[in-house]
Amino acid sequence: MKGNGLAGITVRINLSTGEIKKHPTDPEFMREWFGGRGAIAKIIYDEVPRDADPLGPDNVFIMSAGIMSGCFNPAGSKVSFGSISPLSNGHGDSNMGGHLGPALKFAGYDMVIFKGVSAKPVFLYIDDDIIELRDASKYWGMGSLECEPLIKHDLGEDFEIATIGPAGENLIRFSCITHDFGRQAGRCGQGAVMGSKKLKAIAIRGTKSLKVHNLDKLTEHSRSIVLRTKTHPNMAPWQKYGTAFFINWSNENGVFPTRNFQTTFYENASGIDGDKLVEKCLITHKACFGCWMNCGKYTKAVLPGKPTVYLEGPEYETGALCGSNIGMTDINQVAYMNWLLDNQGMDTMSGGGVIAFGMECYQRGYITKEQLEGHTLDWGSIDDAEHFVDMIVHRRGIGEWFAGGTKRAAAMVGHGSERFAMQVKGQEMSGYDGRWAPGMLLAYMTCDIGAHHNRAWTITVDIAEGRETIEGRARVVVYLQHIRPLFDSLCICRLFWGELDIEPEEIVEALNYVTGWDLTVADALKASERVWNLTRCIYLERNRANGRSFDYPPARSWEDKIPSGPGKGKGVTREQVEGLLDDYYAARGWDKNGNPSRAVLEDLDLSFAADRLEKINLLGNPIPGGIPKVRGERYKPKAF
Amino acid sequence: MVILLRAGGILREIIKPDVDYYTRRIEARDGLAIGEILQQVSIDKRLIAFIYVEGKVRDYSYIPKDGQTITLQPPVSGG
Amino acid sequence: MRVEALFPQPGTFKPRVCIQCRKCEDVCPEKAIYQREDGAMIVIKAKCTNCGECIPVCRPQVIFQHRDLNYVIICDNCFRCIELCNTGAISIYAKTEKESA
Repeated sequence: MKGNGLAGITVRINLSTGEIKKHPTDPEFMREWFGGRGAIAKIIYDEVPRDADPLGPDNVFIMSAGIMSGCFNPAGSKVSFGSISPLSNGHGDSNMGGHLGPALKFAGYDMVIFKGVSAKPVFLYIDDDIIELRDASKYWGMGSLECEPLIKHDLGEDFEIATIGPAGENLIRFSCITHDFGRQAGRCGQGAVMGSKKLKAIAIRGTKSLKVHNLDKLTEHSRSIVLRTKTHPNMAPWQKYGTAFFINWSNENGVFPTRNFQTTFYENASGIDGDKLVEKCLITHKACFGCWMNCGKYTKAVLPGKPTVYLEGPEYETGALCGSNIGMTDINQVAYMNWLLDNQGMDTMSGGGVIAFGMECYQRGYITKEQLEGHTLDWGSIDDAEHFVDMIVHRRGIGEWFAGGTKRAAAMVGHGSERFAMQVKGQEMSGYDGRWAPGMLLAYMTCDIGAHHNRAWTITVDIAEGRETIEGRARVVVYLQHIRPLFDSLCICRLFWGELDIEPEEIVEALNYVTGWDLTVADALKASERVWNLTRCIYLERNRANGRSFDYPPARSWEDKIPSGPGKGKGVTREQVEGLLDDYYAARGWDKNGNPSRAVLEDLDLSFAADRLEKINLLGNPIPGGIPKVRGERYKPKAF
Repeated sequence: MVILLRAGGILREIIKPDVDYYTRRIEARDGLAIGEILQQVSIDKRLIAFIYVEGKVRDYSYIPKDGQTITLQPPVSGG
Repeated sequence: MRVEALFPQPGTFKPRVCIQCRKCEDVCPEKAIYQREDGAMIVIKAKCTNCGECIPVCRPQVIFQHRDLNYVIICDNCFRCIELCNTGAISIYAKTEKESA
């Protein structure tokens, strides 16, 4: 029997009343919005009141397994979570690999949409046709990594589990969701949204079939890709080190964030790199569903005076943001911080950024030992970092200031500290400094969920085209902001499909075999561009000012030249920051205020969004000369 | 001696593969180090994250043996 | 085949494959399972009643039933897993005369 990759049922749960409703997934809706991140954006747009508190009952919380998750294509492992982000007050989505997305599909569901707030802690229990909200009081208060084995023990080893930790329960705004002992949906504070709804965990067992449109062709296509990529030059290092392998490259090219982005070269990088991970901490390689790169690294952290702890990581981002960015010198320290934040249920990226911000505030005397309950907050001190994390998770004293992320913390600390709160739109930066990589800085400035790299990553382009010029960067960023989030909609992993020279045509070919559609790459990119503009509209409607006012990086980015290392003396200028934005808006068909014009919204079948922006005076002015016919340009490296 | 240079991603077109989709055959004097051999392909070293020779990471001073495969790894985008 | 995931500790994976011990063949009430020349255990789909008697006697627990099928699934030496495995974790070897006896 032919299918279309969809499991067929969408579930709506009202946590306030306990009501659970199943209805058929609309294939036309999925064709327009692609599930995953796209479906999340449209549902937020349609159903969340523009003044809803992200941590209140009117925010949605959506778990969506997209289209290709669980299907017979490589790396169909992902699930996307989304809601209004407590960090940015705009659209937020975060995805994770592992096995949860496929489990949801095999149980028979494409998407679960939560609203309301439960009176008591609950967890979602799915066992094929059975969906229940079960009492979670015995798990409430436990760490994420501690309670997953307990839930598996109670329900069965073959259940896939996702949990939040105490940080999510206490509504720390950068809380994450953890699954399979070490995979996270880290960004956009999705753990806090679950916590605000008293939803402690999700447990899924699925044993049904999942039908696609053309299984024979999909199998043949998948098999040829798998066999071809087995010997891809990138494959072996990925398998061995995971993403940690390019810590040294990042350092040698002066983009490695060191001590809260004060500089971009870390003298101790070799103590925390991929080789050290493999040599000192590695237990086993770990793969997600249907993926051959097995980039997950299950490790242990062994530190004198601390219990030995087990975790997955450190990935590159954690190696940077909880390593060089907070002054750690030994891989075991980084791994321990990784475990600590995973178990408490905080994003290691924002967590590392918040700790680093705290350390710089302490370094400058803006916060004192008295305020830190008699403790110091020195660079490279595990004990200080651990104590600080504890203050934040439990909101004790000035822990309360930092529980909302660096932007809110800077407002409380004062002293002009917002100039080094390394965030955009309330979300902390990824592990790359953008001062000597203007495309990367632009990527942070314009990312829809705050300063995150998963939408666009341009450092090799910056190196190839000129690290001190902004020429051509905007069009590349726009293209990347369309192609990369596509993976988050289809719910396949960008690392497999994007890092092994698989062409976009091959991705769309697989999508068509799964669904029976006849899309082209241009169709897929347009659908992605549509979602991008929709999330911009959500942001403007909620935050009520011209888009441009939210698109600036912290002042450190243009005021502080890099003080040391390969990038010494380098840094973008304020003029370049403005120029990047001007080029970007022009490339997008948005006006100089950063607001989408009617022309581009209508080209994307978003007239309804244009009408709404017009009512609040945030519709972009018409573009003199018209909008570009195609927005964004794929980068082709010039042969030297 | 003959060595095989392999690279994917952003480096692939730069090395001008001629043996297969990823591989370029290079003839070089015996005893040359990788850094010197790479001058034949005019590659911007800043685009190389590391060099892999038969499962081991090597640096530019490594002298390959006849017939060895040298894999150039471009940086990728973290996770 | 089945892969057991032993987490959080020790943090390793244990793949379990058919060991071709023939216990399923011995116990099948319909004589629907036989061992082929190459050692693979073959299910005669027309004879299998999906009763599941073979499942508890399989020590590595690698006989499966599925709601959409009316026969059990046992490894039949198609070797796709070896072709696709990217870490060399699975291999085949020929049994010696002594092992086959």
